[in-house]
Amino acid sequence: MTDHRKEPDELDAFFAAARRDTPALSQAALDRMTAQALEVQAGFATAQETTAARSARSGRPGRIAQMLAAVGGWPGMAGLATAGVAGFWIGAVPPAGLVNLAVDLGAVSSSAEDDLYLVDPLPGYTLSLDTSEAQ
Amino acid sequence: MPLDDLTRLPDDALLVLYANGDPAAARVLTARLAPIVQAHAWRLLGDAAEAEDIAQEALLRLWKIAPDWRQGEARVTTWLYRVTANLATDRLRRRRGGSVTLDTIPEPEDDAPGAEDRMQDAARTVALHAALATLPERQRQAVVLRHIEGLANPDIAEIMSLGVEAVESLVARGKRGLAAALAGKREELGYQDDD
Repeated sequence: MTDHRKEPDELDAFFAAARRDTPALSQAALDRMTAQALEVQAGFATAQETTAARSARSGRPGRIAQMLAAVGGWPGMAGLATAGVAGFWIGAVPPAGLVNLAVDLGAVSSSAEDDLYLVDPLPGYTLSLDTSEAQ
Repeated sequence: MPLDDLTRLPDDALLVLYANGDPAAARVLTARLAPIVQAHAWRLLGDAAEAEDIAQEALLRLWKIAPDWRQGEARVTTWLYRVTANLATDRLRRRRGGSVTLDTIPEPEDDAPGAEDRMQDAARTVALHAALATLPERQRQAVVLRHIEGLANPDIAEIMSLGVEAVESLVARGKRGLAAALAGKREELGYQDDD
């Protein structure tokens, strides 16, 4: 709790004396402190130059950076990787529905030898042929 | 920018100029802040050489953080008062054991005109420093900021990271401690002449 007693105000003469009696900063000390301020400031300029020089040196992107930029940077690269993995997975373990559809469309033969020719570049064309034969 | 214009700028604007490499800002800021920091350090420690060292160290810290200084968040002087008090506290802790007592104060000597007043001031100042040294650190800092630096309680609260009421309490307790420490010295130091 704040104390509002008047007694300590008798100290004012001491405080006033301390304010008047403060020694002035010597010119030599002031010069030394100014020199120090300028020295630290010069360090900022050096640091900025070093940073600028470093970015100038590394201004032209490398081959990997150029390739990344062509596919849309790292997000593009991530999309490519996902599509690649998904494609490989469908090829290695095809879903039953996909195989049945392929058989139904006549894109798959019943013999194992013919399965070597599973790749069907024009499945839409085959489907239209099947449909016209049925009519 | 001409030097005269720079001297009208506030501290934080000058600090931005300083960080941007303006040497005139370095000179103006040093000339403005160094005496304030040195005086505060002296008032906390009562030792001119240590006060100069502390002023140099406090300013060095300011120059180093200048590029990261956030304008408008705190006043430069507030930050400096805080750093100066911390540095002074470190010195006082190292100094413990060889502390000054009222009985070991040397009598100041001066024969120049007006010397009597100055001698009385000097004697009172030395006695005050010795009495301040007997106070706990936070009380001493609060009393010096309030009654010698002449700062307002809200400013002191900001410097000391306290509430205003806590500052008032510290100042009041500090003054009671000083009054007790100086009780036997008032007549000897010509205190009665001021009534």
